[in-house]
This record gives sequence, structure tokens and C-alpha cells, in this order.
Amino acid sequence: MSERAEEVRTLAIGVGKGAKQTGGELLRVRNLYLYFRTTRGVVQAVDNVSFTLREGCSAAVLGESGCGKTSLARAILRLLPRNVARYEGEIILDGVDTMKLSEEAFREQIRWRKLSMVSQAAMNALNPVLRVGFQIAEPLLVHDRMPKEKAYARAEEAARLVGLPVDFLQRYPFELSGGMRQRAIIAMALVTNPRLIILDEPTSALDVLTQANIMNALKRIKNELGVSFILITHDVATSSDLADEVLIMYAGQLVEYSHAETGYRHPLHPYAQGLMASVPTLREDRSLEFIPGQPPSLLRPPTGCRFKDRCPKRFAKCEEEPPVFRVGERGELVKCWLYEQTGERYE
Amino acid sequence: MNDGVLLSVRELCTWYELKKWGFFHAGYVRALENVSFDLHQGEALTVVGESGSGKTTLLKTILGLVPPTKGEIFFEGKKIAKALDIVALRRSVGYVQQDPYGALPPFMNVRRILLEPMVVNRIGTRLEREARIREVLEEVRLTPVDDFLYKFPHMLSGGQQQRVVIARALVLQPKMIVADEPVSMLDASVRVEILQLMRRIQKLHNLAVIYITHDLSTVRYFSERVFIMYAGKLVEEADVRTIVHHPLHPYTQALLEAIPDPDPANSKRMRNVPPGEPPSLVRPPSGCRFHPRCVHRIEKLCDVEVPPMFSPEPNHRVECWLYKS
Amino acid sequence: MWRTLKEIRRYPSAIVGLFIIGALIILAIYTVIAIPYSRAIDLWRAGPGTWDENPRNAWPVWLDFFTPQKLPRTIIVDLEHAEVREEEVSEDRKKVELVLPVNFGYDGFPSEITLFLNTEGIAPGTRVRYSAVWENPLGQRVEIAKRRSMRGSEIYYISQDPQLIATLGAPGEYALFSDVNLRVAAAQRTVLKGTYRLYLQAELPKEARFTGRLIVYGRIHGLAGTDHLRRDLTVALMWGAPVALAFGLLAALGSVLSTFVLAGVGSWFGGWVDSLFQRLTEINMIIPMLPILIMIGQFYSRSLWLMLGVVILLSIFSAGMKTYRAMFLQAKEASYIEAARAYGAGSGRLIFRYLLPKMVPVILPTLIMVIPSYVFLEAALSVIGLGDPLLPTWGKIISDARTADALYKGYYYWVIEPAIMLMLTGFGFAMVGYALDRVFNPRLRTL
Repeated sequence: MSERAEEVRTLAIGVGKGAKQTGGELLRVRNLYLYFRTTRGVVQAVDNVSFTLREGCSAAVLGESGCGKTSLARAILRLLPRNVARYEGEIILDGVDTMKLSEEAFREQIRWRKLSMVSQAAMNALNPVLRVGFQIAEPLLVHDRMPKEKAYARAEEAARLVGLPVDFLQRYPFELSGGMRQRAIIAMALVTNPRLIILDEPTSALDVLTQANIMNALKRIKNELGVSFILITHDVATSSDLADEVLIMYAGQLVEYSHAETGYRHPLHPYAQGLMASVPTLREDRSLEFIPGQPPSLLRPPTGCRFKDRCPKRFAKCEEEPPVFRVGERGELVKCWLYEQTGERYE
Repeated sequence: MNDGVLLSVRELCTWYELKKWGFFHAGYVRALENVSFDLHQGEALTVVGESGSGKTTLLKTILGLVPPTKGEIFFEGKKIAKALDIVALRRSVGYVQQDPYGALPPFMNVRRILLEPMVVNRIGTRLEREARIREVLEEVRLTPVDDFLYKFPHMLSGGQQQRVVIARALVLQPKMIVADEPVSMLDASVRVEILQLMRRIQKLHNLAVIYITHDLSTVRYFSERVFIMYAGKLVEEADVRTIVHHPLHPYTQALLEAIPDPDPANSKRMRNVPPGEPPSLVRPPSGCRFHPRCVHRIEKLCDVEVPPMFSPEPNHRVECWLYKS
Repeated sequence: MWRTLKEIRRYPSAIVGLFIIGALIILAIYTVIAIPYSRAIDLWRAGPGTWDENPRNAWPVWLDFFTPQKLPRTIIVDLEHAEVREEEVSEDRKKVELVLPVNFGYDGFPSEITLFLNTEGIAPGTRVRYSAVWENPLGQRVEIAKRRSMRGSEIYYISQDPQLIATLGAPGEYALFSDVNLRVAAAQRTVLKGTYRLYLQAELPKEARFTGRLIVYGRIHGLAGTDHLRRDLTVALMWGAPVALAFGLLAALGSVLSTFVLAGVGSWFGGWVDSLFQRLTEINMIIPMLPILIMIGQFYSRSLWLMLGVVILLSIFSAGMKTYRAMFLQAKEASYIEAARAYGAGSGRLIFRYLLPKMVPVILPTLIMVIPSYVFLEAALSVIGLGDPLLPTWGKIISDARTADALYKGYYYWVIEPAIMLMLTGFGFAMVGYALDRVFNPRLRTL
């Protein structure tokens, strides 16, 4: 417990405007469901996910492609397509249950105010006919109806934070390189001073050095502003740059939610163990292992534990779907029968 | 198991011509500049570089998909100059591509896909071809073979598709394989499988392999030797251990610094990486192409003269003025 | 690809469309078998005698369902079956009287009354004189012909006889079928139902006899009505189907496939080949097709097949060229093409076996949807008078209708029927085309 307090105190240094008391809950997700209707049936993209993100903490959401990570982001931000079959649960952000808000109220109060998103291939999402500076300032102009000078000043501040030289604000997106554009997008997500930013594969298309630079910028922002990040990526190694906590998803379900130390070094769930063992390392000399087989289809997920067919530690009870257990003094979550004795059920 | 030299590249330059209005010359993209190396039979080599570093151009030039502007390529001792030489070269080199979803024609089934290289090169009788297809599918562990023969690419998973790509590269019994980012578009857990598969095949058939990737952390599982490319130039060459533990070129050092291992301690510290972007290849920086971003640059030298290749240690080459011997 | 084609079942509009196309194809096949080409041309030429038994400008028979009155149909009385009374006059001559009964039970006036008379068993050129008396159900008699002379055969247009009209005060078809004593205009007459009789009296050589028919033309005829030349429109409506389908399909296939292949070749080789094709396309896009067709039709020949050929030629280097080229330029960068180059495939194989097949799903909807525009083109050409002069097609019907001022005269069926056929064709292909588009382009789908 003392270790945790230590961490929190470290991050509390340099907390700027917008942060409430440390140690409290920033985002509380309970029983979140998101199913899509497709021509082949109903896809259970997010299946009963529950977790709590504390103030000042950043989390990484890891998993293979198709495990539901992006859908989780969409569910939290309510960026839903038309073919939604089921969307329910509780999402309490800063004390407000966003699921209960109307579309309009959500748009005004939550989206891009308290919560913003940097999505995959975002650098192609910049409007090519508008100047970069204007686009960064746009959320302020639209949401807060801020006067232009003030909005531009804030845009400059955001640009500085992400490492985008201020004179680039006058340019058009095509004049900027990939890395610059990504920074612009991040600045756009920052400019309204949100409490939480969701980043979906923010650096996947960029060079290694640029990637590192942007991660540095994000770390700086995390420390200076006290903004929380949820980083969604399949690149396990890079995620460790930002993550205080780790969410591991498999087949639409949350199978592990633990602190970075546990998640990366001694993961709890067998899938997480397999995942970490398959990450190539540069400096450590170890052999790689892979998990044979493929993740199940989200159309007709198997009964019982969804990982059971590939799990090396499977036993009889796995035919029944395990509940989420809370384990250890740090209150980490695992969805696996192996922890039935040592953990308590988490509701 | 190093046998004779299979591939030899000398002072290879590939420039793409830029045209204005379709007619007027508007400069060159100097994608590859003065690359030289030898590859032995049975040897595996990884070329590491970011996008725009010239690694893909190197591959395409070796395969004859793009004509070199200057320099020479020797395959099995013979110079590759005429179109006929390229044809012979292609029969001995297998190409594994990055994108499994695009590398297979969507309207052909697996059997047809594997048949094509043999049909095009008029190799084998019908029976021999069918036998070879089965053989190669077994090698990449797509069994039972009959299950896969008539499937179309979209019916296969990413990993399975990549196996078909590898099978296709093997079908003509090549002496060398060139693989362009063979696993970067696959899921993390599938990557390992494919990497191991390729390694096993390479060792089994004593193939020479050139891997191209931007992900330095996978190098050790691919090969023994590493080339680092930057902005079209080969900047450092050594074996994997050396590169990882004492890299010499400032770019290599930055690269290593920038690549994380999954370590929770990472979130507590900043990475020491140079700012900036890789340079334009139309008007590359004068002298050493890395000098604008290099913390160790020597004024009046690095920005003026192109450094030659130095060899400060055996089996370790660097193109950097810091190691002027 | 076949699997995606089955997806089309999910779209009801496509099922309807397929149904329509299927029906058209069956109609076309049946027509070509039942009324072969040469026969159709013959029929449509409407030479003398071909359509004699049809009324002029008659509405289709199903109009009867919609009117409370019973509309008159054509009654044909064959002289063979008429009552004959012969009386010997001299050694070699006889007096003959034929009684031709007409049972008229309709609520409306007939459109025409015509007598086709032939003499048989007589030396050709011999003059015969005959008289004809008309009796209506009221017993009134009218002398319509008095010692009228004929040689061999004649066609006596009774209802149009000007003397008769002058005598009776209204055209024959009205006057003879109503109260004769009323000297009022046609509009104020009421038709009399009952048995009418035409008495034909003449003096003939002994061996001779009369043959022929008395035709009282109705106002409705056939499934589709008739036109101004008495031609049964069903023939043209039926024949329109194979012509439309053939023209549409051939033109579509010819032009789209050619454009497709040429765009593929051009974009593959790039360089001057590509530039050449693009310049040709740009020039061709500016040149208007219709005036060229008009000129060719006017100064050279209006044969359908020639028009088809010219249409295809002019359509090859059209806007499709640019679209397909853009698609090909992108598709040729695909990894599998590069891989094929790497294992030594030559340009020809690459274009035809690797590049083009990838794009076939894209042109399939285009192909289907472009068929109706060629069908309409053919119709349009016919309407402005440039259609094939021989063939009966839907456009030809409309063209004839226009020349004969059909709409002013109230012959709506003449215009509406071919129009409906054209619309159905367009509708059928369009529905299938749109559904195919949605099947092959998942992004267009709505869930």
C-alpha cells in the first residue's frame, strides 16, 4: 500500500489545473456492453467490461486485433455506428454517469471537454483545407465559444506541450510530416483540458525515433497537466512507456487489470502471460513463445472461459465462465478460475 | 554454415527520376546511395531502417523490380546486367512480402497461387508441380494440405496467409529469400510463430536470407548480421550482439535508445532521442546524411564530406567520421 | 465472387429486377422462335393484304374490362358460308343473291365496314356488276351499291363511300348501324343491336361465284391494339424485347469491356500508350454521339447493326476510361502484382490474369446498369426517325405514334405500351445493378 502511495505522490508533483484531489476515481466503468449487428449476426465486441481508473493514472489497453480494444474506446466516447445491437452499462466520469446523458448533453459536456480521443491514423483525419492552428483551436471555438485570440493562445500552448513548433500552426496539413501531424492531433485532443484522453494506436504508422519523441511529449503532458491517458495498442513494448496500469482484453472481455509492475513482469492471467512471453526484447536475452491457435470469433463466442481452448493451464472448471476476481493488496482484477481461492469476487 | 558468396552488391545506387508534367526532369530521389555488401549462402542478414531509409528500394533493386542507376550486382559470381540475367535471378530468389492481405491475389485459391510461379517459369510437369505444392505446404505447416488447397485468401487468417506467401516464395526452390517486413502486419502472438517458421526453413535448406524490418527488437530472432540504413545509406554493419550492446553510429545509438522493452520502469523516464525527421531524399543533406540530427557532429567535416566506410573492429563497419582510423 | 453474387438475394428490389429481366429474356427467346426475323420484317412492312382483318387504331381488348359498355370487336362474315340463292337466267348466266348476316350485339359503333369481293371461275378481266342492299334490325333497307362494276376483285370501303355519307348524313359505320331515317350527325346516334343483313345481288356466268369477306371492324383488337396501318402492336412489342436486349447487351458488353481492357493496358504500360489513350478519350468525350449518329443515319445507312457498331466505337473512349484507369493505377500497386513480377510473370499475363480479374467485380454493376441506357439510346434513335427502317422495335412504335399524332387523337395505348416496356427494362436492370453495387461495395450498405 505504501508503494502505491509513493507512486501517487510522485505523480502528484506538478499537477496543474483541472485535476481534482488525487487518489480519487476518475473513470469507473461497470458492466459495459457493446454489441454490433452485422450481416452475419451479432458481434459481441465489448462483453461486460468493468474497471476503475484512478486520478492521475494512465492505463494501457493491450490485446490482439479484434479483441475489442477500439470498441471499448468507442463505447466510452459514445462514437457509435448505426448498427449497434446492445449498448448498456455504467460509465462514471468524474462523478457523472455519462450513459445517462442525452446525446446532446454528452456532446456538450463530455466529449472533447472532459474526454477526448486520438484515433488510429489520425494524421489523415486533418482537414486538408484548413490551417493546422485553426484546427487545433477548433474545439475551443466550437465548444466553449471562446474568443479567437484566447483560443489561438491556448492552441499555441497545446502545440508547445506536444513539441510542435509554433510557426507550424500557420501551415496546412500537407506541409507537415507524419510525426508533426500526429502531434497536431494530440494537441487538438489536449486543447480543451480534458481529464482523460484515449489514444488508439497513436504512433503505429510512425518512425521509431518519432515515436519515441512523441512518447516523451506524452509523458511530459502526463506529468505537467495531470491528464490521464488510456493508450490502446497492440505494441506491448511501447505501451510500457506510458502505462501505470495495464488492461488486457481478450475476445471482447477484460481478462486482467493490474499495475504495470505486475502486468509486464508477472502477469496474472494465462493469456497475459502468453502475450508477454511473445514480445521480442532487444536487450534481454530470452526465447520467444507463442500462443498456438487463434482467438475465438466474436460472433458466436464459446461458452465458458473464452481462452480455454488455448490455455496451457486449463482445468475442468474452465467450462464455466469465470467471474472477475480481485486479487492482492493492490486490488488487481483477473478473470480466471485459478484465482478463485486467493481472490474475492468483484462486482 | 557459410558457403561461398551468393550475392554481391557494389556501390549500388538507385535514383528515381522525378518528372514535372510527365516530361520535364525535376530532380532525382536518391533512394539508395553507394551500398556495398556480400551475402553468403546460408547466411541470414537483417536490414534495419525506418521508412524512407532505402531498405525497400534495396530489395526491389536486388529483385530487378527497379533498375539500378549505378553500381553492380553479382549473383553466384555472375554480373546481373541484362534482362535475361534478371530472369535467372528471379528464379533463384523468393520474395516474401509485408502485407499478407495484399500479397495474395484474392481471386485465386491457394493451389493456383502456388502453381503460378512454376507455370510462369515453365518448370516441372503437372505431376511434379502438384507434388511440389504439397511439399511446400507441409513445410509451412499448413496441414492437412487438402484442407487448404482450394481455399481462397479471404478464408484464411493473417498468419495462414503469410504462410502461403512464404510457401509461394519457396516453391521454386530458391537459393535466397528476400523478406520485406514479413511479420509487421500480423498480431503479436502470430509473429513469433512465423518468425520461428522462417528461421527453421532457412536453417533446413541453408538459404541465404535478407530480412528487412524497422523493428530492431525482432532482429535477434531473425539473423546473425545486421545492417542499419539511414536515408538511403548503409551506416553500420555488425552482428546482432555487437549492435545491441555497443553500437557505434550515432543513429544506431539513437535507435536503440528509442526502442523500449516492455518494462514498467519506462514510464518513469524520458528517452534520449534526437529530434527531427529523416531528410528528404530529393535534396539530401550534404556530407553525412545524419548530420542535422547528430549530437556528435563535427563542424566542417560531417556537413561537408560524405564519410567512407570505416572498420574499427573486425566484422564491424561504420560510416561515420567519428571512427576515422 | 460467386458467393458475393448470392448475396444479392437479400435485396428484394434485385429479386424483382431479376424477375423482370428473366421475363424479358423468355419473351425475347419465344418471340424469335415464334415469329422469326424474316417473318417479322414481312409482317411489319404491312404489305397489301397482310393486316386486312384488323381494325385501324384499335384499342387493346382488355379495355373492355374497364368500360361498362361492351366495345365492338371485328366481325368477319365469310362469303363461303353465306346463304346463296341462285336463279337461272339463261343458258350460261344466273342471278345470284347472297345474304350476309351480321350479328351485332355491341354497345358501340364499329369503326369501319369493308367488303372484300372476289369472283371466281370467270375469265380474268371480265366485268361483273353487282348491287348491295343493307338491312338493319329495324327492317330498314338502304341501297348501298347499284350495279357497281368490278373486274376480278375489289375492295369496297362501304363506310367511306362519299355518296353514302351524303345520302345518309353521317359516315357509314354510324349511319348503317342506327336508325336510317334520322338525319343527324354521328354523335347523336344510338347504335342498334340485332341482326343486320347485307344482300348481294348480281348476275354471273354459271360457273362463277363470289368469294370474299364482309368485315365489320371493331374498335378493340388484340392484346395491345393496332396502329394506323392495322398492324397488331403485340408483334412489335414482342419483337422489341430481343432487339432491345440484344442491342443493349451487345453495346454494353462491347463498350464496357473494351474500355476496361484498354484502360488496363494503358495504365499498365504508362508512358506514351497511356497518354495516347487519355488524349483520345478527352477528344472523344467532347464529341457528341447523337449528332454523329444522326449524320451517319441521314447520309449513309440506318441499319441497326451499323448504328450499334458506331455506338460501341464511340463509347469505348469515354469517361469510363478515366475512372477505370484511376482504379487500375491504384490496383497495379498491389503487393501480389509485385510478387508476380518477382517470380517472373510477363506483362501480358500480369494484365490479363492478375490485374483485370481483380477489378471485374467493379465493372459488373456498371455493365448491368449501362444496358438500359443503350436500350433507351436505340429507342431515342428510332423516335427521331433514325431507327432501323425494317425492324419493329419499341422505339419504332413510339416514332410511328408520334408521326400519326397519337396523343392528340386519343390513342394513348399506342404510346404508353412501348413506354412501359422501356421503363420496365430500365427498371429491371437498374434494380439489379444497384443491388450488385451494394453487394460488391460493402461500404454502400446500410445495416
